[in-house]
Amino acid sequence: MSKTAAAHAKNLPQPARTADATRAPATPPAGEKPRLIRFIIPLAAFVAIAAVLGVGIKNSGTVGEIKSPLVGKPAPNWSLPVLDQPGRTFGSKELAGKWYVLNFWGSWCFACKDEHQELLKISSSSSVPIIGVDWRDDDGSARNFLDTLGDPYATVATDHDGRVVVDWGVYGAPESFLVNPEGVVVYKKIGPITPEEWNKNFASRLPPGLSDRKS
Amino acid sequence: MRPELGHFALILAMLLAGLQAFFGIVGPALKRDRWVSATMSAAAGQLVMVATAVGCLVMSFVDFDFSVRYVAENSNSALPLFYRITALWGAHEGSLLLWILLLAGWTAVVAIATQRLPRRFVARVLGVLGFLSFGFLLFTLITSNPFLRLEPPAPDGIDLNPLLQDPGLATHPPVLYTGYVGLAVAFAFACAAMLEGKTDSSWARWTRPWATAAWAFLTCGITLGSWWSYYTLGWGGFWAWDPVENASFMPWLVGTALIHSLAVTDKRGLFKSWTLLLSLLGFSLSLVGTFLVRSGVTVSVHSFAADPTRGTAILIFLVIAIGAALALYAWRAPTLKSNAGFELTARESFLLFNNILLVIAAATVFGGTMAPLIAEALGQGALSVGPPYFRPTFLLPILPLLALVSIGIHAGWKRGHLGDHARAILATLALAVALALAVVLGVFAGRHILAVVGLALGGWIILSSLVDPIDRLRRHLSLPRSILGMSIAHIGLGVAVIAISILEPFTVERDIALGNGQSAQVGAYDFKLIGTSNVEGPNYSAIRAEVTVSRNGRTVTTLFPESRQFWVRKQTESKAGMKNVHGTDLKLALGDDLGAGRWSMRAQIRPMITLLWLGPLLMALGGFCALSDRRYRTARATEPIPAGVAAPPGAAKEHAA
Amino acid sequence: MLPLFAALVAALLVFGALPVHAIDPAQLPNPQLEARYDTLLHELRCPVCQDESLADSPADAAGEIRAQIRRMLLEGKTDAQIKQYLVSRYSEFVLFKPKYSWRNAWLWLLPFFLLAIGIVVALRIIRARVSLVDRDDADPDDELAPPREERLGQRGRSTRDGDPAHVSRPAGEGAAH
Repeated sequence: MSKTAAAHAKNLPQPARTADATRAPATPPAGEKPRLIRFIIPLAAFVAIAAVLGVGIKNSGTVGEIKSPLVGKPAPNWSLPVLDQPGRTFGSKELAGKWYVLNFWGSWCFACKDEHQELLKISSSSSVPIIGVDWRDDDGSARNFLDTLGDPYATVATDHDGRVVVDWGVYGAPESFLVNPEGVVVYKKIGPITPEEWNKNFASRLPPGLSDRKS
Repeated sequence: MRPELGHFALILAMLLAGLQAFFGIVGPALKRDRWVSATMSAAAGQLVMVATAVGCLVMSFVDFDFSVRYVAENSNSALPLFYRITALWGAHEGSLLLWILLLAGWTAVVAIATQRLPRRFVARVLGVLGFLSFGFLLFTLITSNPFLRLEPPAPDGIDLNPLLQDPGLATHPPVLYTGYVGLAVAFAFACAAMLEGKTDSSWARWTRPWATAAWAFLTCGITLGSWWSYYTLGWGGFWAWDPVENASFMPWLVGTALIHSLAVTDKRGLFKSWTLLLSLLGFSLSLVGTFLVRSGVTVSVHSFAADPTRGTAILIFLVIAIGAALALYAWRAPTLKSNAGFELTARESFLLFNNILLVIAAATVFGGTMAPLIAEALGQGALSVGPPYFRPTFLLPILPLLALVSIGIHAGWKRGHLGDHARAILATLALAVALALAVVLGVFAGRHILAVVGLALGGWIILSSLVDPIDRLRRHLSLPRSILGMSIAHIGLGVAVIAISILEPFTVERDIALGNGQSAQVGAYDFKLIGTSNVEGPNYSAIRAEVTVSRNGRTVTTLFPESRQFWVRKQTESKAGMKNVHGTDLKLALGDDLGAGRWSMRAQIRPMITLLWLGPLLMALGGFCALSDRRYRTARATEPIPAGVAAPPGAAKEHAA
Repeated sequence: MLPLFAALVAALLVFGALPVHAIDPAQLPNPQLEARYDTLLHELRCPVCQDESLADSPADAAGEIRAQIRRMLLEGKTDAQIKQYLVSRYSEFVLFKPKYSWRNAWLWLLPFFLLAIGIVVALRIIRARVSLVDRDDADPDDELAPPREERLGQRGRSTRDGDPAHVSRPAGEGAAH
């Protein structure tokens, strides 16, 4: 250690005045300016962080809500058995060239019950077919559900092993997708469809005539 | 009537806090000694009012007063008394009240325990604390009033969240918040020093016990939280790098740096700006943590229900408090100088690296936690950051740090004289590596490099921490509490490192499905379902399973996991059956009834997990031991004796060997 | 840290009282697949929950994703293919490990960058302080130090606070007593 000290004895730093406790770079007094700026760094960094947090608050309504990567892309091909029609399958092939709403639901899902009224209204007032995908349900309960509450679906497909659910990136029931005649997913709604939701995001995207009363 | 009384008390408390802040900061500046004394009275009054408010709310809980909205939202007529009381901090409004109570409490303790410090300085400290109290009280009264009434009163409450109906709830938040809020004391001491324009380092000596106490409480609080969530949930581990967990970890990392930096500033007058900044940073991170939990800005299982208005209000308070402190820092820090020198291998050098590496670790955790926010702010869409990021990036600065602890602990102040300890250093290292290899290869028959490295580092720290105390005792020298505490705390660190090094690679977790009489092999153990039965609790009905665990044919223990259905909230909660066998946790959680008497279950084997709780406990113990050292109780109302001048006879006598 | 499992409660309300726990004892035929499955479940985030892995999430969607992963493992898909598939359906949010991309470069490089700066700063400070060592008269012993009765003949070792008292004993050096 004494060797180092001896070596340094040759380059004695400037007088004590400029030797700061923690930032003594041994530069001449002209180095004061950059030294002082170092003390502003914490404050500047904090302001930047506060700004990010502020923006975070603005966006906090949507935190965790991820934009679906499927929107704007071709819908996945799918084909599923139809409820109470053994041997028959139904899927994207049968729906090619048509607008349709794909609605994932289940008889075990509380919010689906709430949404059901709205779906019934939509199916009676517009000519866009609502295709139901019954998720992980047993057919008896599903049939019960529809008999009791009404059936707004043009067709009910059953997804017993959840393949189609994952293929469409579904988060939970109920969830609905709007698909155009070219087979592209135009819109995704997580949660129950409300009347405002239908008008604002679904009906507005449909060509005039489809969302009206059936002729 | 009582809620109104509580509400009124809260308003009075806020006014008193405002007075406390005003008198405390303006009084000394204008040299009005009457105002300086008034600060103490204001602080006392604030504590009384806050305690009254808390008392009112607690009584509303105890008396099932469902006309108070907060009580209706967090209680129920079937809720046991113990949880009715702890429900006080079960949600946002009440937990804020707890924070305020603890802040008032710390303030009172500071006022009482600083009799020997200069009055004006203490007044400034209380003034800064009063400013913080005022901010929190204002925020609470405006956005989060716990005394809001329901008109008409609810017929019954919707019950406390079942997950919170657990003894862990009673202990974790108060202890954790005590730590968080304790950092405010260090913050206040630093602000007071800056307000006074102090250029010497006496404030560092004064701050040390407070910072150490806050750090020790924070250590306990974080550990309790980790223990509680691990023990309560049927799945998951003890640390998930969740944003809220990180929010408590960052102040802890900075707090650790702070107590070490304070030692250097106290001892040698060095690192004054570092220590100041760390004092400010510690509590700032506490505040940011508070913000993250309540603003809905991050995605976390721990978040309170999101509310952007509250988030904005906290952010404004954050900006004012931290912004002012950092501005003070930018103004005063350049005036702090020191002529002290030290060698490359001196203690100061090691502690400098300690500071830097801990701050880097905290900054990395901060970056990872903020990354999703930053990505969204820049319009880049969702970014997800989890354990696969935090683990390697955290280890990057921490592994070298752990090695430095074992070497630096031998270093002398100013001149390291490490050469004198070369034998001890190498011997402890060799022994630690040998033991690590023996444990990993022998006991666990594993071949994980990181496990060996971790075990060796942890063992090295423990052995190194024992060298000095053992030597002192052997030579009949004194072992002051500060040194004893330091050794205990470092040993605790080593124990924690060992625990994590064993747990990470050797934990076994498996999902199994068992019917009556069936068994499955998990790790080295055999789990066999004996049967299930129905049980009733105070506010739930449960199915309890009996499962025997055996190893090599011999029964080791029996576990009783439960699946509880709470009457009010209709939530099903899985209560794991857990036993600790020779330091290893055997844990079993019930899943679903698969029909025909078969149940899905998750079995976990966590080897030597007791060490994980023991380590931090020792760290906190060491901290408490160190801060009770006599030196903090000597009469030091004036500036410290400049170096080179003989100490007064009284002081020297106290430290006679 | 008060786990108000807001998402869980909400999830239960939305999905109904189907008590689907995270516990999913599905079997895979061989231990290698089992190990890969386990790792994947811990590396992937449940897209629906607040910060839980697929291994620990009770959500219905998580259960379906786990089933899908099992199917893909049995079909012989690689880990990368499985992750790519899920990202294409649920976005990058489903990964706990941020992708190595230019966009995320700052995040991954941050620790190294900080470490480099830290070392540079430390060395500069040390260099400055080392040069002051001999000019600095202060002896750390003076502040409230105990009497230096052992100082003589011991190369400056004493029992001062925070300083190790032990000495490694080369042959010939006298012991303390």
